[in-house]
Amino acid sequence: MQSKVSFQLVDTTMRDGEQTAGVVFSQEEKLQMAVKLDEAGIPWIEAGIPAMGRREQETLKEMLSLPLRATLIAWNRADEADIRASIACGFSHIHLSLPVSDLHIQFKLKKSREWVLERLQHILQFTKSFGCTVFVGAEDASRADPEFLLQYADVASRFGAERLRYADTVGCLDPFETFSRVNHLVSRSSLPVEFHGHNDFGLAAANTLSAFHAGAALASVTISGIGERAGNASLEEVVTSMSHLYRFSCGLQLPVLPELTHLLSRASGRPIQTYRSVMTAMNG
Amino acid sequence: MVSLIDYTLDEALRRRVPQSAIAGILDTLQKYNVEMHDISLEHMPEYRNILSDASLLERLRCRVAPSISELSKACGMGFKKMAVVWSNKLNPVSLSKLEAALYAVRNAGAEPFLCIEDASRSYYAEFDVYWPIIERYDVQRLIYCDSSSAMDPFIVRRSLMELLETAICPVEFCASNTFGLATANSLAALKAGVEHIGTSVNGVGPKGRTAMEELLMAVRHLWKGQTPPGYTLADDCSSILSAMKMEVRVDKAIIGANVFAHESGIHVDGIAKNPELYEMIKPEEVGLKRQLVIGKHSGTASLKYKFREWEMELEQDDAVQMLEQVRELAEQQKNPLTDLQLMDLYRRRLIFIHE
Repeated sequence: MQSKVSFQLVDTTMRDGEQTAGVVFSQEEKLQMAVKLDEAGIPWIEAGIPAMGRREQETLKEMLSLPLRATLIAWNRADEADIRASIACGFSHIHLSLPVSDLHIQFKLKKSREWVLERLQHILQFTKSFGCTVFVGAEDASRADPEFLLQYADVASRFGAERLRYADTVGCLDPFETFSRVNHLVSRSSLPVEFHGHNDFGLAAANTLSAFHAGAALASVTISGIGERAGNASLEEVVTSMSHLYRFSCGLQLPVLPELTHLLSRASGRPIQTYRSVMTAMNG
Repeated sequence: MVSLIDYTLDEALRRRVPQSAIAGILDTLQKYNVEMHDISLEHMPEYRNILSDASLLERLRCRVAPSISELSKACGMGFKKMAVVWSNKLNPVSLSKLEAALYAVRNAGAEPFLCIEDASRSYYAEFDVYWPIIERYDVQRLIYCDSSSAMDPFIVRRSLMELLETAICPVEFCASNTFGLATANSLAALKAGVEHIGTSVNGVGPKGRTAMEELLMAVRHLWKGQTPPGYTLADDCSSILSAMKMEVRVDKAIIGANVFAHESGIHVDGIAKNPELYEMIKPEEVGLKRQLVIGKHSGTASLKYKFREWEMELEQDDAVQMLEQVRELAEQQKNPLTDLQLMDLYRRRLIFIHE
């Protein structure tokens, strides 16, 4: 198996994780999680959505003032007001997301593929004008036409994005599909690819490992796999399976993982998971 | 069609579920193409009564160590199928012990299976020593176990494809779930051509198993394969777990109560336009219902959608202003709003406007 030494994790517990129906983290909990994730050695933290309003912005400003080694990223729709809110908080790393599947373009946006590409170009130019580092998300990439996804990646690259997130939004890939799709994208696009898996069929961790083999440079994870519906790829599962199966550390301190799991359990009000893999083993 | 070897019953016995609940568990599992139930001999003494049911006995497979005392105990109980649990230690002495055990199973008139616990640690050529033995005792199947969770899906597919090239009997795959890869590894085994997969409801078992509901729905939806209908799947899994005094986690893939709950503004807006945007399976396909949760991440579209469910139209201005209150309240109580709370906010707003 191919090994990529540069593979890194992006924690999105406080963005995709908190979007879980019924879950709300307090400001204090978010700050604690950021500190602990940083201690574990996570290089990237997707911290939240400034466009959500004043209270969220206050929390995010607090988080930005913490002395962290990790880089904090703000999540945004491809919308000028969203970007302005993130800039106002003090973010220099901006993630902006647009859907790329025809299903989403037609039914959610009620627009065309051309509109998506134009919008991407416009919002990238707008965001770059603030001197930000910009990462681009491709929502529902796993159901998109791979050729259109390449066009999208090409526009993202030409207009200054530094990373492309391949989102398996509804968790519909198996590990073999993940490999071939991510491999195709990695070989044809100049941007580093981040894989973002969902766990609707219980395959998020396995798909993340496949993306690693396929040459993805990064992957999104959340503590204990918390996230919308059946959740995201679990930080603990991805890190421990890579460590165990490939002797690859992801640069993370494994002893911090149980503390993160407990922190998440308290903040989300959900008990430590039993019968979800390594978490049981870690927590008895 | 994938054939399932069930480990749920074994976990129920290990957890000392009352005998009266066992029949219910077995009946429910019958809906899902369970070929047989693998159980450990050590749990059986307390449950000997269930062995008097001849048709059930045909569907049970007892795991036995290759020891004279265990084998004679299992033979005495009348098992028709026995899996000799074996560790892949290759030397002539140990192999003669295996042969003696398989002989004893055959001699008792039962069908022998060979279960290699640490198969995933072995190179496929190492299995060559087993084929003559398998042929000699007419072993029904080789059970390939990844008990130490040493495999990822690519390793599973490659190893099993190689093994199947030389295998002279059907192969069964049984994953453990230490790293959360069991379902993926079982899909990989199916890709390699294996047809028999060990599963349990919700993946229960000491080291975790492949979750039955995940495997069935992945085969059906990701590969468009044939699997039994799942219209009562969530309820069935939940009632089996409740007999074991366990609960289904709200976010458990396929069967969790919240896997069709949506809160974030973008998602609810999408769901209102077309549920397929954020759902791969229709909730009713597994016997669940879609829920709309109003909380910190709701958007104006969510509020309007919720009011439309109540057959009320919420104006954009009202939605914008209520949203701020909704978010504050959700954050304060660290929970979504109940319908009553939402209605209360709306009423207060009306009073405020009319004052």
